[in-house]
Amino acid sequence: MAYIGQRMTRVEDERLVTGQGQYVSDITPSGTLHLAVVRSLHAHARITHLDLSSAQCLDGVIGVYGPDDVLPIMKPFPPGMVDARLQARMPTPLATGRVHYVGEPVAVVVALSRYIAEDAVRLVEVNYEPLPAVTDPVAGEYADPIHDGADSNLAAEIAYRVGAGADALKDADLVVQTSLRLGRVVGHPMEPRGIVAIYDSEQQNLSVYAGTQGVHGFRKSLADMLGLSESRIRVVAPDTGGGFGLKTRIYPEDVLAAYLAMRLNRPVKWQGDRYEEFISTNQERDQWHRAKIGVKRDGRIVAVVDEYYQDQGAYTPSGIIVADTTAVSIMGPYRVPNFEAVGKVVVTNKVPVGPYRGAGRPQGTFVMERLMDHAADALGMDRVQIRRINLLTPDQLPYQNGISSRGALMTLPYGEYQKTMEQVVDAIQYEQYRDTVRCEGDWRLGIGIANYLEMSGGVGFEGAKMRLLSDGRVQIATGASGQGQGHRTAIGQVAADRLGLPFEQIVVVEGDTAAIERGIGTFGSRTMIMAGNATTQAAKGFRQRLLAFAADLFEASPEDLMWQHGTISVSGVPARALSLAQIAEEALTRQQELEYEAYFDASGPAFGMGTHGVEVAVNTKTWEVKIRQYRICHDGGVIVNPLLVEGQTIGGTVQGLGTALFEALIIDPDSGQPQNASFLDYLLPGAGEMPDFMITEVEYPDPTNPEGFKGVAEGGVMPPMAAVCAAIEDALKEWHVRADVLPITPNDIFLQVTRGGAHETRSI
Amino acid sequence: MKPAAFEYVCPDTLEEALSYLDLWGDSAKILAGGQSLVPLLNMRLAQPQYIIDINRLPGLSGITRHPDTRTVEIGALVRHHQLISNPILLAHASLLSEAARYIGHIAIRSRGTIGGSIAHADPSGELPLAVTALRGHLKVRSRHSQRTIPIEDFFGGYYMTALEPNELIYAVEVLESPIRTGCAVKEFQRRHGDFALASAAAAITVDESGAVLQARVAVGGVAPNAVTCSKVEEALCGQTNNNQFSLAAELVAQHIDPPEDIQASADYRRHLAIALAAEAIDSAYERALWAKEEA
Ligand SMILES: Cc1cc2nc3c(=O)[nH]c(=O)nc-3n(C[C@H](O)[C@H](O)[C@H](O)COP(=O)(O)OP(=O)(O)OC[C@H]3O[C@@H](n4cnc5c(N)ncnc54)[C@H](O)[C@@H]3O)c2cc1C
Repeated sequence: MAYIGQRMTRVEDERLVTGQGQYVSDITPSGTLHLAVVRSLHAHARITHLDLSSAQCLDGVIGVYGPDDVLPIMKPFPPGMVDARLQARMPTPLATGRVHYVGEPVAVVVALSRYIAEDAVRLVEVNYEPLPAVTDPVAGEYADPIHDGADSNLAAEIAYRVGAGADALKDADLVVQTSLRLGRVVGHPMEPRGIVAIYDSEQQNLSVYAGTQGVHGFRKSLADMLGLSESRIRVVAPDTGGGFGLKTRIYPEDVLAAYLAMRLNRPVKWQGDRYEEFISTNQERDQWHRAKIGVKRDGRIVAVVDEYYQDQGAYTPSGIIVADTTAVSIMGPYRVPNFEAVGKVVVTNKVPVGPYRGAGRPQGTFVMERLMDHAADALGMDRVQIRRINLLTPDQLPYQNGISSRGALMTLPYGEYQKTMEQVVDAIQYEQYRDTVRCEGDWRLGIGIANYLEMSGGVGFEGAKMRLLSDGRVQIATGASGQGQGHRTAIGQVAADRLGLPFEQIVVVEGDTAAIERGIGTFGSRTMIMAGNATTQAAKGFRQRLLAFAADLFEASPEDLMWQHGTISVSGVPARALSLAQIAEEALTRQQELEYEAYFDASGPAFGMGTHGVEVAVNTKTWEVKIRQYRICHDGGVIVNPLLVEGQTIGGTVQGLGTALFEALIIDPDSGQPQNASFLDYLLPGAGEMPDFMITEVEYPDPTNPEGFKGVAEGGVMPPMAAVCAAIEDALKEWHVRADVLPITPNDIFLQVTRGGAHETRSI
Repeated sequence: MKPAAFEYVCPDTLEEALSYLDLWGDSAKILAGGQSLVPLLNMRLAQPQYIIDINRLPGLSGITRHPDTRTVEIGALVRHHQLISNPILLAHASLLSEAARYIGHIAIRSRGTIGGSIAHADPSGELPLAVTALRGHLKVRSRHSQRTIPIEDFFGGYYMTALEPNELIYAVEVLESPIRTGCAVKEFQRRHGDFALASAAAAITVDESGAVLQARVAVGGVAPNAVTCSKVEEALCGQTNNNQFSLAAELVAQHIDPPEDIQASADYRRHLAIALAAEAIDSAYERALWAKEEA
């Protein structure tokens, strides 16, 4: 039958594109009250006075609550990820005494409508005594601590060393050093965060609808914060419009809405708006690097050394995952015999940093690929050639690069990295290109190539629970709730194949704690690896369960039964056969549930290598950068659905190109105020700015899981920055433009060209 | 992102609209295409007590040519997309059609109005730029009076105009372009549909020999309001070649002192303004030569 590998269109789409999706904002039970948040106007200040009285008097306001009014939940959130290297800084749902970033919740209003709630927000009087804002992680490390009780702003220090580390640089013929910056990127799912909380005071049960990437984790955190047993809480993630990692954790608004729903005994809804996305949802990238590479004259890498700072923002909601993954991702698909990375995670007066698609992988890739380009330039070597020399070869794989991450040595499985890279090099006509004219009118053309190694999955477990529905269809529930990826289609394909059933007979449900007991969620490109393999495992057990049940009916032994096309029959006696629908009927009369639940445990991350190649044109009058061609070749492991994989790859690449050329939240260095917190001047790339993408796939099955799946959701976002920067430098060789600070904008290029040399300018 | 409460009226006649305006003055806002006002309301950057919706007013949606005065009058409610394809404008004031193409996206062009764009006075607005280049006039009315304001007296800084709180723009008037005129607008946007970082508009008229007879040049996005560049215009007169045009375009620098913000440095804006003016002049001149051939 083989559904795996087919370009099947998504079962999700008809509902979604005809506007029948049900998002949090579509869910408004009768009697719902609306919550709005009073947010800090200062990056860093003491609250000297909070007066809620005028807001309370407004018609239609049910209540206004400061920290003293919600004492039962005024405790720090449980640390997102425990790590011995981290001194966690976790917020309380409302700030007490001191605010740490523009947007931090100070008080909340509950009213009959969001309109009234927003009116009341403006009547809450907060007096602030401003404090100096810490806006730069380098100086910030030694600035006065921004958190009461902390002795410094250094929240964690990350260190990795392989071989002789930095000491090995002395063995290099040439050492190249560069400073790199990645801007503060706001993730911007299409759907802003939101929650509806409904309390049933009779049963004392709480139901929550929230656009979250993991309903079980959400339930656990909510239970902790509310002091309620998990068994009393049901969390449902309805249709969710994107997450990208930003919706993996619980946020203050979630706890406040749930708590107030219980206290007021009325449904409470908070639907964040776009401005709130800009000033309250975790942000990312935002790193400063000083990186060195030592090479031999023939181009071989001797050592890579990186010192970096993570501008962490005010709290550590997801621990050090971003900063840690950065270090782990630097070496990529290359043989790096000596390596050292020291990263400092410094808290600043900005929105907290938490994983956004890639979660450190893009940063690590940017560092390594920029170093490769600069080393090649310094050696007078071709930029692709230095990569050919240093990519791991098939005979070196599997390869342990010496990094131990989450308790295990990183092991890169078999792959043919050179072949993958050459596919892109050929497709973009790199060699021919280098010898031809590089101008078209006012436009200069340039080309850039970047490699990456995508690390996916690898942590925890995920489950699949199969149940025979009364009409003979098989329902599969998983805790890995999607936000638009097309899981129902892809998991359905795996299940259909492994159960030997038509695809139409499979129903996948996700995002409901009532549908499956345990689960972790969708992030880190883990779902096909984890839930996919759990589905395969469950299919095995589920078949056995059904065969055993049918054996009873037939009074035969299970070994004598055949399972074919959704029918179970006695071998050799075709007349004695039951369809799954008939079996379901029998189960109903015998009051038996035919279900089976399996959990797949990760044994380590999967790795897939890929290459991006880009051709840009830069206008020498306006310094506008246009992307003319974009080629991708990547390893998708065993690909379940190429259509979905390409969608993931293109989506990620577009986000990477945004980080490269357009996106950055600019924070005033003195006041800590965001300068472009709206889509008017925070530039998300649009379809018009993007090229057509040409993608080819190679499939090296991953050895860490029986199905050989690899994650594919973060590969796209890893190399575009480096590839584009390389192409811009190539196009503007004549002016020695250096593209090491992101985003690289026409204004930056202009300033480099006219003033000579690289400038650390920040503009968008 | 919910607006503060306001009272909404939707009058059927200009008189009625003007009397509301007279009554409420500062505490009211006119609603035309809503493409600038509604975002301001949602972000509560504007919190008027009253909204006067003028979309139903008759007589504000036409484009008329007055051969006697050699003018073209554009009703305040004319939508951006209409400017692009209107035959009268294409024949007699094509700078407006050229400019309107660059405004936002199709949804914005189908709602936004010329009156709203001028009244909103965005420093990067294409229509303020084009009307400034053409030395247009605004026809303004209040309940008891009516006046015509030359565009050079109309803008008063970022988003500021000479309109009194009780006044409404009912039409924009420009002189017909002389024969043998070519028009062009050039601008630089970071993304498709964005407001311009800098922009330039040129309307060039040539004589029978092909030398520049009259030039109208303005730049936008580089000052609180669009700026006419009389030095450039003077330098262009009598010229016939591109080198001279570039030299003339350099004089743009003498008319502007661009601001620096997160989008662009002052130097970059100045550089763009000059480059775009040169391009607009070249392109307008080329079109003027075609027009000469046709004449
Ligand atoms: C995404 C987006 C992109 C855009 N891009 C561009 C762009 O590239 N270039 C550009 O120029 N514009 C752009 N705009 C703005 C657009 O052109 C607006 O339509 C225009 O600026 C305002 O016209 P309006 O009819 O929508 O006015 P409204 O929004 O209804 O009103 C704007 C202001 O003018 C006042 N007003 C309206 N009509 C009158 C009148 N007849 N008399 C007196 N006062 C009046 C209103 O009270 C209000 O203060 C963009 C808008 C959006 C949403």
